[in-house]
Amino acid sequence: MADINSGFPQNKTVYQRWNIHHRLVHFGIYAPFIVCAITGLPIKFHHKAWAQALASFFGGGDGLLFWHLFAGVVIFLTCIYHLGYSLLWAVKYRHNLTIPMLPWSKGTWTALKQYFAYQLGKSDEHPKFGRYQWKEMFDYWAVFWGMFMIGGSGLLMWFPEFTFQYFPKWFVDAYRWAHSDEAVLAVVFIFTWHFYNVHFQPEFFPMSWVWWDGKMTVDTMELEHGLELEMLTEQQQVMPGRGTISPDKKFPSSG
Amino acid sequence: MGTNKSCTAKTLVIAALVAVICLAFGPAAFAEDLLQKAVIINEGCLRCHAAQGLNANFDGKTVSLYVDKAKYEVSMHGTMPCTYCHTNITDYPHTGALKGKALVAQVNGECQRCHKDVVPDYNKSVHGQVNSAEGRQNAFCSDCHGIHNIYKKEVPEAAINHNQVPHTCGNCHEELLEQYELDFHAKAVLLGGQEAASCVSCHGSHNILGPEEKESMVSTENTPKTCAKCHLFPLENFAKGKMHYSLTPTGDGAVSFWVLIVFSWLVIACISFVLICILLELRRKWADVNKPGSH
Repeated sequence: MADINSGFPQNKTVYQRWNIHHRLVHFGIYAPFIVCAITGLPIKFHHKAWAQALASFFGGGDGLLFWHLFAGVVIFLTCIYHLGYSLLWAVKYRHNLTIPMLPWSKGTWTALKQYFAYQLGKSDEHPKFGRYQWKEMFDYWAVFWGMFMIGGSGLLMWFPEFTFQYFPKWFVDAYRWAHSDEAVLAVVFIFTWHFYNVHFQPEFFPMSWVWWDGKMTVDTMELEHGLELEMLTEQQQVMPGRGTISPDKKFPSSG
Repeated sequence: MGTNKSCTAKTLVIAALVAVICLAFGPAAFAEDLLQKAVIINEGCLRCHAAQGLNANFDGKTVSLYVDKAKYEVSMHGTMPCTYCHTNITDYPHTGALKGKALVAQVNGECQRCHKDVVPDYNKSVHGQVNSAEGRQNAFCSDCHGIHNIYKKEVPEAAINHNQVPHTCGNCHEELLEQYELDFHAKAVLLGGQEAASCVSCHGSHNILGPEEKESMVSTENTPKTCAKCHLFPLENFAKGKMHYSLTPTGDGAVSFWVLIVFSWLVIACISFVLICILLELRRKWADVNKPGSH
């Protein structure tokens, strides 16, 4: 007999995908990222009317720069927090350590081939992703690259008294072009790719709630992280410190 | 002796009183007189010149003779009679009127009557030197300060306001303005910032000199000191390389130019790739939904 509870979406098994640290880091990146974008784009396109209007909202060029730097510092702090957390995590689980975010981690390449075969209609087998899909790796390592491109040049521009002891002016000028162009890339990338992946695609619209409570239902897990789900359920291989299964929720009236 | 003494005292008191009256009310009376004169004279001038579209045809060129009354009256010279600067206008029709460059030169010559303190600096500066080709100074007072719209630099509309200075200088130095706009100081200034350097912050104003002059604020020798006005301590590297560069494939801005090109293509490539992926995914989802038996 069919389980009377199985029809209720709130009774689906839910996996704790992100713990509080993951969610804090996501918040600490995305909130200041939006502030940096809003205060940074007017600086790049200063001659536009909307740029002037935004600048006056933030209190002119000086206020704009203050909030830009403020948000940048928050991103830096978040990155330090994340690196520290990751280091402690790695030390804690050093005896049985797998880092699923690395592009060469198990199953990534197979899933990538599966993904393109599936999307191009060459195969009907849905790609089985591990804990992180190639898309998520792309996003994650893009932030790393962005921190060197944008964060690095940002620090050099913020402290010219330090910078000009070691670097010539043409280097700082070129690095500033990299700063704003990389920023434009990041903004466009986030608001097309990332927003499609976690907001606009039909499975998630209006959004995937992992960033908020860290939870993902078994159905979504199957689609988005099939390999990880297999390891969790069939092989009972729980990655160290990750993928805790929350107890089944039953519909209260079912008894 | 007693009467003589009191007589001297009386004289002294009267002299003091006269002095006080003259000093206290004299200038005021004079100013009042000038103000009255200005009101009467300017009313006469503006009867014609406040009319929008008042034009004259000088040597085949249509020249506007219109003066914005509202702007002039709140300007620094708004309470002065027109003839204070236009000294050669004494009658109507204006028999002594000058045209074109001669008019500009004459009026600018009159500035020095009151603003004597600026003259020595200005005459030494690159703007004050007479350009032998044109037979006039490189830049007149009015080129930077405006004509009937001269305001203190604290007024946002003033041509010499911190945020307006780049545009004012750019009227002549077009290429430099274009180059300056690439600079971060420019971004802050043009977005209304008060802290970053405008043109005059580094180049000076009345004492402006070309970078090849030793006393110039932007000579190789003085540049570090000039930067240190804001940037804590002078650094030799501040003076190395060109401050103003153009985004061209060769020259001072070459590295910046190529970085810009590489990143533009990186943006195009990345975004094209992910857009193709999105379209592929949506196409696949659409195909799955329309498959028979999918519902």
